[in-house]
Amino acid sequence: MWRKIYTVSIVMILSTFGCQNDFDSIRKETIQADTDEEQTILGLAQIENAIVGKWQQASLDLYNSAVALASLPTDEALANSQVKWSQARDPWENNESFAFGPVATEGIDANTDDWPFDVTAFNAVLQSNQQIDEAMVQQMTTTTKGFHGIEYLLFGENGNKKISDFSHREFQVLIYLSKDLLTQANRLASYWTPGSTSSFYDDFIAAGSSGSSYLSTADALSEVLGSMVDILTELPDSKIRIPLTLQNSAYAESRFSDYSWTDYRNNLSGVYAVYLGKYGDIATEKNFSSLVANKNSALNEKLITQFKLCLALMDLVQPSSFNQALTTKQEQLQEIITELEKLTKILNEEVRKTLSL
Amino acid sequence: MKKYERLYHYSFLVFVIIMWSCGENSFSPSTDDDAEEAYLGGSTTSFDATSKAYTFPFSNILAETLVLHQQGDAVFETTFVSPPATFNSGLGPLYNNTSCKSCHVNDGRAKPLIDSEAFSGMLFRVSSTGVDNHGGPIPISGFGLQIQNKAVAGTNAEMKLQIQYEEITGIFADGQVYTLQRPKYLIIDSYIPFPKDALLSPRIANPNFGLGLLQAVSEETILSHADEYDSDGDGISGKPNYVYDFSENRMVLGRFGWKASQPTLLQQAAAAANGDMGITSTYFPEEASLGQLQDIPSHTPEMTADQLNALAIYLETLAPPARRNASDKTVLKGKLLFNQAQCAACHIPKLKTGTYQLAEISNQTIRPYTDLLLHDMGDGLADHRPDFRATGSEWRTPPLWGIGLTKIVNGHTNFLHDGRARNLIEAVLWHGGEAEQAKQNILKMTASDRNALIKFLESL
Repeated sequence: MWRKIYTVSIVMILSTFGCQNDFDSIRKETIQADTDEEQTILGLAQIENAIVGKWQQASLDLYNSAVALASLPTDEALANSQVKWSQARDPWENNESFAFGPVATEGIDANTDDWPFDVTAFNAVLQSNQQIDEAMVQQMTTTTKGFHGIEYLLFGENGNKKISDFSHREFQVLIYLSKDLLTQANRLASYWTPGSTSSFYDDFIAAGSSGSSYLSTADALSEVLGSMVDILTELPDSKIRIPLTLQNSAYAESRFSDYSWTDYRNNLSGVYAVYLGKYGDIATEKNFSSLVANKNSALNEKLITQFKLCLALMDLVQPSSFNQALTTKQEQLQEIITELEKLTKILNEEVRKTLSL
Repeated sequence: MKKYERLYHYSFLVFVIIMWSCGENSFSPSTDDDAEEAYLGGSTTSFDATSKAYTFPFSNILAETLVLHQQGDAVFETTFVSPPATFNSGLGPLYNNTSCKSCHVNDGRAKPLIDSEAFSGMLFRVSSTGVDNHGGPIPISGFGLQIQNKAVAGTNAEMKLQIQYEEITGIFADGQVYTLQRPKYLIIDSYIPFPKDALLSPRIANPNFGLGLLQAVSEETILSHADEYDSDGDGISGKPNYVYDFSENRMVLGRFGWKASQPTLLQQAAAAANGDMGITSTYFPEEASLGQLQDIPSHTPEMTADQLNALAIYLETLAPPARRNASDKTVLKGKLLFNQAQCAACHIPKLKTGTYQLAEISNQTIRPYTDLLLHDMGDGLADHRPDFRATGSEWRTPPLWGIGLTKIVNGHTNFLHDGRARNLIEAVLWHGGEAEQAKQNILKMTASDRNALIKFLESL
């Protein structure tokens, strides 16, 4: 009798836990997915390490060029510093997919790229007799520092700065602003270096493990995807539509150098690089594109096609002519806005849903 | 019982135990109520555990409200510059920061300043001894009610401040030693002598989410938890602050800020724009430098009434983030300990909102872990600066919702009004006054129980 009761009970319990097999198969898939996600996260961290490394080197080059310009002021030295400024600008604008973590919380973004630039406050610094040194520049308000402070000095308010326009004080400010920019680059590079003190890189790649700020790998992926969506929302809206609607180049991001359009294209190409898992010499096997393709290859193709379309449309506008394009290429700019918004929608809605992020 | 029968009994028992332990996760002691507790903001709750967790509008936001939220978001993101400027003009003449987002990074919590750094979400309230006509603090001549550590060209910043910390050690009942840091503030480069008897109170910028829900809790509900004279004898009072509402010209219940000294989000937003950025509005049309020899009067509001309203609605409609791991066994144990230690006496877990002008907020069950009342927190935390009915040792119970996401949102785990606590357990150990008994209960906990308590707080 007991034997029968227990036998029946065991069969019932086993049948209840029979779904264990289903759990196992689900878990197996999950573990596989987790592995792909972990590899994707590691690849993302490596890409960010590379982008920031490039920015760090370019910032050092800019600083060295500023020192050289101040010691031997020539038209060539000025042109060289202007090129170095744009070369430092490129990786920074590529980096918007990683606009989270220390770059935001440690004030690096604010000290590097606050906007709009405070012309009145900056001119007051130039006109004052306050001693210029490293500490003084560090204390300057963020809207007078970083890329746009250096841009203002190198290109002038109307983009036609000549070497003869420089005062001794401007050279001094230029050197310390460039040095401060390099400091910010060094700080961010340290955070995104594996094994460094306060390494954010280590925290990020440990997503889902005990001790990481990210409770799951999905959270870490969602973090990056959220930043990709944020910049692709900002790009067609406040970066292009507002100056276009107001017909005012003062609203353009890098208006003194008229480098805004290259900034914007770098925003887009940076997001595309992160989506594909390819930046410089780095090509990751697992990335957003492969994750999406595994679930819905048609969506992956659709997204890549849309990325390429947007990049191609942006290439139809000359790199250094956004200020002019605001009046001469309004229809093209409007078309770019429309296609960028489609791209953002695909990323924010379809990719999020497909990856359950 | 026959030998084989007994064997079957034992075998079955062992089998059941094994199966039970294999399926441990499926047999979590959590309840439906625990699952509901994930929805800290009721139907408004957002589900995101990234650095953007505090930045989302209500999940149930209506289309017309979302439009206003987005307009307010644009104001919140606006960086102001020195006048004259083509746009975003009006910064200063005195200010602490150039935008709302500079202090409230990711709509979150600031950390204490380091070496009087330029980038900080910490400021200092000041006042003279005594009270003004409304029972509020008295401005200090030449400084007002807040130190602005920055100024536009031609104006002197009022001063800079530095923090020095003194280490304090203590010991848990199980013998484990802990260390706390007590701050001391140093005044540097005051533009005129700062009165020696001035009252000074540091304040860390608070997170922005969930504020609309707290505004929608009825006064009646808040007062139902008050026990100003401790008539029930449990050692915990709970006192409402009554503060001046500039739009209504009368005293009303205070709800926001470290001492509940702001009555509405509109006044909070207008005061912060004015005091922190030097942005005037129809609400506060005078510059913070008013009365100083270096004052530069503002002739037109630098923030329009529409912009200010939108900003207030933005703050009103930011959603509390959902809890994580609410059903985890250790978290549930921590929740039990939280209640047993009497933490929940002030950090009241559950409140209900009343009928409110925004349908999304009305009649929601929320879990902010606050009573919105003032409590004496003892000498250790006292700033000795009264603020309306709040004495120098009283603070409003800060909401705990979303607190476990501080690290990911803001990159630090500094807590309390001046950020002195470097982690949650330090924040707990600074409790005194009415919370002294709760702290004593926690000091007696084992390391395992303390860990469970922290896990619970981190799940919020």
